[in-house]
Amino acid sequence: MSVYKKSKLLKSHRVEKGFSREKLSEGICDITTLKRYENEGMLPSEDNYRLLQEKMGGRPEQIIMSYDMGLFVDGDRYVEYENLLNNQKYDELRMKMQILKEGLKNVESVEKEQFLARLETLTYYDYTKEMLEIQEGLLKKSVPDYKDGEFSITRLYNDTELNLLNDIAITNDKIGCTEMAVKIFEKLDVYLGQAEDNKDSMIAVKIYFNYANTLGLSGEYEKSIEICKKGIALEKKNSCQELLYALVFNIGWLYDQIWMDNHDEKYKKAAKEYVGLSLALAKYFDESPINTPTIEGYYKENFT
Amino acid sequence: MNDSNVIGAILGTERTNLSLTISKVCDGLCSASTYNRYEGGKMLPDKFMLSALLERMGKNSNRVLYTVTDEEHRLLDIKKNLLESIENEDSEKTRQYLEEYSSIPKTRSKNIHKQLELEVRGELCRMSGDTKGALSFYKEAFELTCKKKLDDIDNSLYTVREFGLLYKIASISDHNLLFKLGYFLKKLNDNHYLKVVYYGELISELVSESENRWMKQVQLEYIESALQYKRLIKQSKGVVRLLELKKKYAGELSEEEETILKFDDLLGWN
Repeated sequence: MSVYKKSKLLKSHRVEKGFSREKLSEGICDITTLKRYENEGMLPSEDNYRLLQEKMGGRPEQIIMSYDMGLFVDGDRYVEYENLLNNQKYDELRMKMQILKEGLKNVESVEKEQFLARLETLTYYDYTKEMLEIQEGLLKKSVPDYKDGEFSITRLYNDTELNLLNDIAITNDKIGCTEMAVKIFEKLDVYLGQAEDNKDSMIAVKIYFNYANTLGLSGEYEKSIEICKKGIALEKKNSCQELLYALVFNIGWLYDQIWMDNHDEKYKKAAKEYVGLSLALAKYFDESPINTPTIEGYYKENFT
Repeated sequence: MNDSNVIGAILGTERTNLSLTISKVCDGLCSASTYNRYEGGKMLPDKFMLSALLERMGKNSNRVLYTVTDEEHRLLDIKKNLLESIENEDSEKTRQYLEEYSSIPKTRSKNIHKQLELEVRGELCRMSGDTKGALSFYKEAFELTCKKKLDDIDNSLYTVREFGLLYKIASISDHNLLFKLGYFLKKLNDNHYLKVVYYGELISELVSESENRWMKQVQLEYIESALQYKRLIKQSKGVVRLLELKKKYAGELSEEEETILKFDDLLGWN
């Protein structure tokens, strides 16, 4: 369970928004009380906490959960949709989304809207500026402060919002704004580093995977390997991930690139080990029917 | 919808979806009337209670975002250190963190905190080689929130900690219980969080413990079913131990399995 201290959230949000204690507390509580809230001397009531956060224009929810009417209780639904997306089974995905839409037609929820529209964007659009605008617009529905890759890392993000930030970074990279993509991933890395225990979630590993990809393709091999290893370390938890083989493949590919630069055989050897392991994992865990033959081809071409 | 209502709606929806009675879900954790107030949105459970309730319904509470009070945050911090020091078998640090944890006055979910403290005392006994003492603490911890459940495994709901305690009790003293727990997990839905956390590990333990009791063929069937489950839910944790057992009993592994086994150090799986 990701947890955040109320005192820390209040203080950082206030400083970030440029509110003085006097201005923020006015009409809600006295200034000493707010000071106590921030310095852990006193626990804000549910109402006061909400009022203070609302006044700062943030999301007032004390608790933000990825569930509306039980729809997202199950992270497994997320996993199921993501897998269809990754394996490019768009028709099946669209069919499932149609059923979901029908079932939820009476449910008013921003997350529902973002969840469905995000998937639609990914199934119907190519990576263009237009797509980026749509993704940013979707994110802004619940994160109004987002602007050009800037977003607060002291607030809470649910899985859908993290997925959108991840998508925005990828689209930026694909349309040539790699610097912007790296900037977003760097911030996400800091965010994930400070949110405790959030690492059981699929999106955390996915963010590291895409971050590593972006770095690797722009020639930052060593840094990319470091990020891949961060992602792999997360998989030691109880989570159920399908990205392990892909992270392992990335490391192999990166070592191979380093070898091409310096022809030091130890890198070629490491590359072979990682790609071989990735292939074994992909076959064993019955991974993507698109990626597995690609890895196999890469292995044969480069190491046999 | 305010927070209490959201939490209440979630608890209520989950519970009714699973056709569970209130008393079954909250038994030993809180009173039925308190639980009713949670569901009715009249009161907000703290982080520890909400996790426990969701876990009893088979949910992974890690998927929930929650803000906590500073007191809870401190407890969570120490708990993290405690679990780490136990994992590293560091009894000195474990004792130190336990003292720190116990010294913080708890205003809510007292049973849940007490249970953790007792379990850690059990771990300290285990580390010093006092198995009997460990067993006694584990049982005391378990019974704190599960009074009648040792005889009635099949019809009960467990939090991750409660099931973990049962597992420890069974591993020390009761092969039959270990077998029952394996069967209990096997029957759960594939995405039930207890199954995700414990199935592979428990089967490894069960098979290792059954060396002189079971036929090789039966042991292999169990290992294969656990491996199949790991592949189904794509969980890499614990695969290596299962593969090692498979190799021991089957004598050989497939090419992929051998490759995976060879590189467990590379992946930091040990």
